[in-house]
Amino acid sequence: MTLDQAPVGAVATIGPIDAAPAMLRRLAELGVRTGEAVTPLHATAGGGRLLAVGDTRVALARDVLRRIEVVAP
Amino acid sequence: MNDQRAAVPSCHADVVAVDAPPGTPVVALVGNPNVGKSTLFNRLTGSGRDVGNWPGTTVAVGRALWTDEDLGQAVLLDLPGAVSLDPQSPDEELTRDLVSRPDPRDRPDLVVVVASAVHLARGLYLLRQVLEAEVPCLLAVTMGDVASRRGITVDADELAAAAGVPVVVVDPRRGAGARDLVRAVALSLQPGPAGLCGVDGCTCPRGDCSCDHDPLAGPVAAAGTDDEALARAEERFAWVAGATAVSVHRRHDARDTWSDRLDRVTTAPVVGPLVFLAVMWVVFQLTTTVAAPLQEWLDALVSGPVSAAATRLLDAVGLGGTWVQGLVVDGLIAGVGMLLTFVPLMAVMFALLSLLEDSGYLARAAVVTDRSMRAIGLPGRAFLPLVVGFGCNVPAISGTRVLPDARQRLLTVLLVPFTSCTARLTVYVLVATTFFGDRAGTVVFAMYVVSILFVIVVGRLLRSTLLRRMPDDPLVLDLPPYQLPMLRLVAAGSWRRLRGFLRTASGIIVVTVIVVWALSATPAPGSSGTFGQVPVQDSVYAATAGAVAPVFDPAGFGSWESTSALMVGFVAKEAIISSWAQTFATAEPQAADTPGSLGDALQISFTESSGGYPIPAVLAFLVFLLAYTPCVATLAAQRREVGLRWTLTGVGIQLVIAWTVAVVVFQVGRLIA
Repeated sequence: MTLDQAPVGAVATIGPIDAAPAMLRRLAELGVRTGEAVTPLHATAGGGRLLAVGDTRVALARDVLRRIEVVAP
Repeated sequence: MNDQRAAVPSCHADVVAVDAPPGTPVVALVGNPNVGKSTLFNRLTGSGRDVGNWPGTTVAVGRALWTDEDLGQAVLLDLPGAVSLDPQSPDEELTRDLVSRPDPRDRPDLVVVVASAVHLARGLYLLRQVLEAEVPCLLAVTMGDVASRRGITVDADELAAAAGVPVVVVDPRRGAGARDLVRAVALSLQPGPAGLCGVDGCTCPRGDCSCDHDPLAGPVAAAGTDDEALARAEERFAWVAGATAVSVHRRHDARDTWSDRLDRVTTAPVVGPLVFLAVMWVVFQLTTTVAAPLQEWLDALVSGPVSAAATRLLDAVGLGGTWVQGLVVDGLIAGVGMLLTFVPLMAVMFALLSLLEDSGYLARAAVVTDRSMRAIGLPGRAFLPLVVGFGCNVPAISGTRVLPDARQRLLTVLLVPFTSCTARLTVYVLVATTFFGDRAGTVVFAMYVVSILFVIVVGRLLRSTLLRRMPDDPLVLDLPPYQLPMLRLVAAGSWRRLRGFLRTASGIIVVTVIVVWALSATPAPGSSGTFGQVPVQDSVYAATAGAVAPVFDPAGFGSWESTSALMVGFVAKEAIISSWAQTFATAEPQAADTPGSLGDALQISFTESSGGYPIPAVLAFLVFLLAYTPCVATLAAQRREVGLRWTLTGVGIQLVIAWTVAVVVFQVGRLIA
C-alpha cells in the first residue's frame, strides 16, 4: 500500500520510497523517511494530503504520496 | 557548482557593502524557512537593514551593520532560508556556498543557526552540516511559545551539551532572550576557549583545532555519489536523534491543534480554493480600491497646489514662463508626484504580504493553488503576485518575494507585466467605446482573457527556452504553524520594504519623466520654437515618434500620434489619454467612456494609418498596449528584484511579443474584414 491509500487519521510507518536521490533527501530532511511514523491528516486541494510528521505538518502532492510505501503500523 | 562558488563574492566582501571598517567580523543567520530568522535579524539590527540581491546572483540577502554595546560592531547577514546545505534551489545554494567556502577566511566569522523549537530536529540537521563545514557557530532556538502550547519544551543546557555548541532560547517577535543572544555572539567572536571548534563536540579553540577533522568531508564533499550522500545523511539523522532524545521533552501528544483544525478548512479540496479566492479578492480590493482615493489625492495635491505654488515661486523670482518652470513643474515635480502616487499602493501591498506571510496562510495558499499553477511551471505561491498584477504590476513584482526559488521568482517577474493592470483599463475603455460602441464591454473583457493567455503562453515559452533549468518537482511543503501576526512587526516590515522600493525606484522614475519632458521641450531641427517654448508636435519628441512610427505600419497604427502615445505609455499608461488629447489638441475627456472630440480624432487617425481598416488596427493597438512594457515604475521594481540584465531582457521579450502579435492581429483582421 502507498501513502495516498493509507487510512486517514491512523499512524503509518514509512517503507521503501521510490524517488530520485534529491527528492529522497528532501523528504528525509522533512522527516519522511523509511522507518518513521507519519499520520495522514486529510486530503488537500489538488489531490495531495497533509501529513503529521512528528510535531510538524507536511503537504505532499499525490505524485509523491504514490511513491511512498507504507508498512502496517 | 564550483563555478558558482567562484562567481559569488565572499561574505567578507559585504563589509564594504554595508560601509563597515575592514576587519569587522561577519555573523550570518542561517535557518530553515519560517523559523523567525528574518524577524530575529530585524530585532537585532533595528531599522538599518538593506535587502538586496547578493552580487552576481538574483538571491536576496539581508545585510546590516550591527552595533551593540555588548558586541561592538559586526556585519549581520540574513542568508536565505535553507532546509539543508544540500541545495535544491539557487537560494539554498548561496547559503551553502557562503557557509562552506573552501578558504576559511572567506566564511563568516560566526554562524547563528536559527531553529524552531516546534521542529528542532530539522534545525539540528542544518546545524550538524554547518559544524561539518568547520564554521564556528551557535544555536538560537525560536518559537518556544508555539512549542509550549503543543506540550513541547527544549532543555537548552542538555541541548548545548549534546550538540557541542552554545544554545540560546530567543523570541524574535517579542525580544525575550535577545540580550542573551548578543552576549553569546560576542563571546563566540572572542578568541580563546569560548569560541569552540564544535565539530563532533570538539572543544578545541576556534581557528586552532588540532583534531583530525576533514572540513571537506562535510556538505562540500556530499555532492559526491548519491549513495555516499544518503549514507552521510543517515549519520546526521542519528546524531540529531541523539541530541533531541536528551533535550526535547513532551508533556502530551498534541495531535489535533487549532492550527490543524484551521488547515482542515483552508487546504480542503473544495472549501480551500474558495477561501483562497476570497483572500485574493480582499487583497485585490485593498491594493486597488482602498489605495486609489489616496493615490488620486496625492496626484491632485502634486499637480494642483504644489505645482501652482512652484509656478508662483518661479514667477516671483522672474523665471515664470521659462524652460526652468517646465523643468521644475513638468519634469521634477511631475516625476516626484508620480513616485508618490505609488506609495499608498505599495504600502498596502507590503502590509498584506507581511500579514499573509507572518500568519502562515501563504504556505496554505501555495498548497491550494499548486496544481493549477503547475500548468505554467510555477508553484502555487506565484498565484499571489500574478493576481495582484491585475491591479498594479509594481507591487506585484515586489510580491514575487513570496517565492522561495530565485528562478521561479525570475519567471514570475517576467510574466507579471503581461497581467493587465488598471492603468491599461482606462485606455481600453476609451478606445473600445470610441470604436466598438455597445460592444465595448466585450472588447475590454476579451483584453483580460488575452492577458491570461499571454501569461500562460509566454510562461511555457520561457520555460522551454531561457529558463529550461527551472525545477519542476511536485509539491513537498512544510506548513508552519499559524501565528497571530504582530501589527508592530507588520508595520516595521512594510516600512522597510517601502523604503527599499523608494530608494531604488525614485531615480529611474524621476529621471525618465524629466527626459520625456526635455525631449518634448526641445524644438526639432527646422522648427521655429525655442527650448521650453515649442508645441509638442514640433518637438524632438514628436520627431522621434515620427521616426519610430513606420515600425508600426505592418500593425496598422504607424502614425506619429499613436507612436507618441505608446512612448508616453512607456512612462505610465495613465498618461496615454492626456498625450492623445495634447497631440490632437482636444480637451481631455472627463471620463474614459465619454471620448467626445478625442474619439473623433482617433477614428480619423486610425483610419488613415491602417489604410481604411481601423477596427483591425485598433485591436492590434490594444494588444500591443497590453503586452509591451507597462511603465517605468515596473522597470524600476524589476531592476530591484532581478537586476538590470534580466529587466532589459524582459523589455525585449515584451516588445517582440507585443509587436509580433499586433502585426498578426492586424494582418489577419484585415483579411477577414
